[in-house]
Amino acid sequence: MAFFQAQRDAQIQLMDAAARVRGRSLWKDAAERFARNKAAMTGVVALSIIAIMSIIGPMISPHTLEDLAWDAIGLPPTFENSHWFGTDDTGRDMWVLTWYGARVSLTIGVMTTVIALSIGVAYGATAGYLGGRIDNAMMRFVDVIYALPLLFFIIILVTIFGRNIFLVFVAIGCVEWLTMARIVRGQTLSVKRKEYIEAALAAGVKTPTIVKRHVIPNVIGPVIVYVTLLVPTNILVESYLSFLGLGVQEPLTSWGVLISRGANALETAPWLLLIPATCLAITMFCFNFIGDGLRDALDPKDR
Amino acid sequence: MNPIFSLENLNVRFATKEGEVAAVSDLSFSLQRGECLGIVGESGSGKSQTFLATMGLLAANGSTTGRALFQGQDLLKLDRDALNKIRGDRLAMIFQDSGTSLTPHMKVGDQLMEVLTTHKGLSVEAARKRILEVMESIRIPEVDKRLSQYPHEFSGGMRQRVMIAMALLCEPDLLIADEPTTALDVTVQAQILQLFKALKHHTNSAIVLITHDLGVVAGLCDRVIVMYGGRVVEEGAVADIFARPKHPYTKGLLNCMPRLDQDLDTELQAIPGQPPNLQKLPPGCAFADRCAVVTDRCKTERPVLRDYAPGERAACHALEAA
Amino acid sequence: MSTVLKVENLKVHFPIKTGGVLKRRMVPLKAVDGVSFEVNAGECLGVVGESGCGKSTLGRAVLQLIKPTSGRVLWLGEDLCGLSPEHMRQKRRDLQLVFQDPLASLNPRLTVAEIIREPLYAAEPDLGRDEADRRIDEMMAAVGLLPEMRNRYPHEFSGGQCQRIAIARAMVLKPKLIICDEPVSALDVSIQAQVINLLRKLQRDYGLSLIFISHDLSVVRHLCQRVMVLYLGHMMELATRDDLFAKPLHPYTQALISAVPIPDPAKERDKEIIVLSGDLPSPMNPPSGCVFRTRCPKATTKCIKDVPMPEDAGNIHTVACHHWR
Repeated sequence: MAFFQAQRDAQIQLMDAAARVRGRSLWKDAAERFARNKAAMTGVVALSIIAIMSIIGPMISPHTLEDLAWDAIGLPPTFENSHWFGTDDTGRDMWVLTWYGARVSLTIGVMTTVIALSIGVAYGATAGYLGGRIDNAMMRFVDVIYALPLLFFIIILVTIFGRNIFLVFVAIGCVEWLTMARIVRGQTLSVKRKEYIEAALAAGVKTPTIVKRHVIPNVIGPVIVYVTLLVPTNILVESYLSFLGLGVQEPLTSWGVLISRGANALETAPWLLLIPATCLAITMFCFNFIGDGLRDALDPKDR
Repeated sequence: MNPIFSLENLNVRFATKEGEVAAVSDLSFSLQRGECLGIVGESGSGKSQTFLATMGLLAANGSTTGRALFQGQDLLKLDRDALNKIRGDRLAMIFQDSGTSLTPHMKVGDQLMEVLTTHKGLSVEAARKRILEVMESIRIPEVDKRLSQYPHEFSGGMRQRVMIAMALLCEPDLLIADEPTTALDVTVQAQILQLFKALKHHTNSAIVLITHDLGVVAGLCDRVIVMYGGRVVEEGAVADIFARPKHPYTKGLLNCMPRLDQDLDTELQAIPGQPPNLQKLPPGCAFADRCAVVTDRCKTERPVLRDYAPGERAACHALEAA
Repeated sequence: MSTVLKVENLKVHFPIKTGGVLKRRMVPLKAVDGVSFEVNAGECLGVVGESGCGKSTLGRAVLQLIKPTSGRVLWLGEDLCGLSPEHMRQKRRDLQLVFQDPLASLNPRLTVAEIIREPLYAAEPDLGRDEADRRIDEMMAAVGLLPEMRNRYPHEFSGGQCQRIAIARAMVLKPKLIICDEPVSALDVSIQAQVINLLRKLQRDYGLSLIFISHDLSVVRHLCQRVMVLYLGHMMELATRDDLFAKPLHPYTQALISAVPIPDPAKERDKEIIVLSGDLPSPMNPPSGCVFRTRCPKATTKCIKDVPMPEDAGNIHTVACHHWR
């Protein structure tokens, strides 16, 4: 008897120890997979450097945004006078301009995405979950807006309200949420048909709880991936708006503005184009690598 | 008599991030002309991977060692072209999900035709004649109409018959059927099994039937191999295995099935525990922690397959002791 | 024995759009077409039929997860069909569901304890955490899950264990009726037996009523006291298990039983199989008269004209066939 007693005690102890073990959640799994992805992690590091430089870059330089160095117009990159990235045709320091531009471009990229995300998720999830006629009407409205050309839309806004950086946010955000809404709706529709939703319904769980606990956590994966791809798209949209003279206004600058002006001076001062263009390209790559990494990490097939 | 097909020490491994998966280990058996061999096992027993490996259809991270001799030729050494030539001609395979094996945008008749014109080099008329002959033999009604339809217009049972027809077109020497009736309803399963029975009587092909359903094996096969954790645990003639199973797993499998001919209100004798994790197979017997007659030796030393009678093999320490 | 559930002439029709843009019209897909039955307290009723016979739809219609087109579902004398969503939600604590695919029916982002807790909080929002934990532990033990599994996620378990989790979730409120929709079909043979034994034990210990939906006659024979056979949304035969398997009256039931393979070479090779010709007709365009007549070996002209009504064959054996005598 004593033997069995001892054996049972040992078993109980073993179970107690095991009870403290926590399972691996899908999020944790995904984070580990993401951390193992070299390209994505490189993207994260490089992007962090660019983001930090956009904050502290202008502070390192002795020059400011408004400084016009009459003695150093059109200087190529040099370590003299601390013009590390050279100067432009009015003698402004390119180092300072580039990181100021980064600040504006990244802000626009992130802000417009936040706008698109909040409108898109709310709209798409509502349409998808309610379904039926409401869904139909809501999505046809999206189709109509889709048909309007972005540029046309922005020119109208600019002529009515004048050039303004917030206008750029609003304009881009208002157009980019459409795709987001479609993605979220599609995801919601597929999640809605999953058996665990039916199981929750059968268990008597209330609708808001179902949306909160079952729908949103399972929709959010693809949305995160799309967000990482939307940020560079929006930076690019801002660039070409600025290139056309519809974006941010002097003396404020962005990568788009710098590239636009650099393109005019390509033959005499190529660094004016190459430096902001390289920064923009690196940022695009970073976001795309991160997006790819996230998609692979969150891919349900790998579960 | 020379066997038509034999496996010698076949090993199938998959490389994954979490470590190597031993899907099939040291598998050997041989098959005579006209024989029907059943391979029984649960999911993860390695029964399907065995034949995917010999056909060169493994996933990209899989690797195979050993020999798979088909009419004296080692299939594992052949390149893709040579393998393709044998596959579908002298050796045919039928899968569980027949819907995905047919191209959705081609008429069924054209797909059947293609098999004959490419493998046998038959003329269109000769091919058509042969197709009608085969379709007739497996009793597909309204053949002409059926041939000009697309796969999605067929029901699951009818698609499975088309797959069987396709496999039979070239009169293969070896037919491998991987869970051919699992996705079908019982009444349709009965139709297909009848077809297999007729096939067995009328041709001299060797048939390998991979299944988890012991009832299907009982009706069709001459010999059966039971697999567990990627290894053979027992092999023998169907009549012997069902009447006198030797291995505790085979016994367990027979006892845990609810069956129509048993006494009512007996509790099913379930096999406790879960199927083995192929990534972390124990050093001893893979069935040890579910086994009713387990000893300390089973946990440390792997039992080897031993002959207990002509054509009867099993791998269990308890049998050796007895 | 008292009746807990009484289903009367239940119909579920889905409107399906057919035809092109010009000739568009709605055709009803008659998934369930006039089925009546009763379930007694503590009884297990088997519902068998092949895929497409409407057995899953029937289960969901009883639980009001699919709105029935017509008919009545009387739960303890109260018709569930007319209830408001909130009223029905409160009834759900007595009526639960277990699905075929155990992994798909569990939210991959919740832990085992969270999954089992869900119905508890839905029915009793004021329940204290300790009491909830106590009931979860009790139910996990009852279905054979170890306490160490509490904080793990569904994808870390095998199919059989996932089905135990799903059963624990259905059982945690101590319901009076559980509808099991093919709960063992997706499982391996050796695991099937574990789950079947578990369901039997739970049914005995808690005095549960079960509706066990399955295509596997051997499983149904093992578990159920009465069996109903469905074909194309219609009830073919309803009898006690012993009666149904000993002397099936409907040709479809006879064919079904004869088609089940028996794992015994001698019996399997000698037995007579009634092989049905052809496939299941489309439920959008069912045959006139008896729906089974296109595949029935006994069909006559009477079967084309007249729909056979369920007839009492004595000993609570009901059969819908013109030729059962």
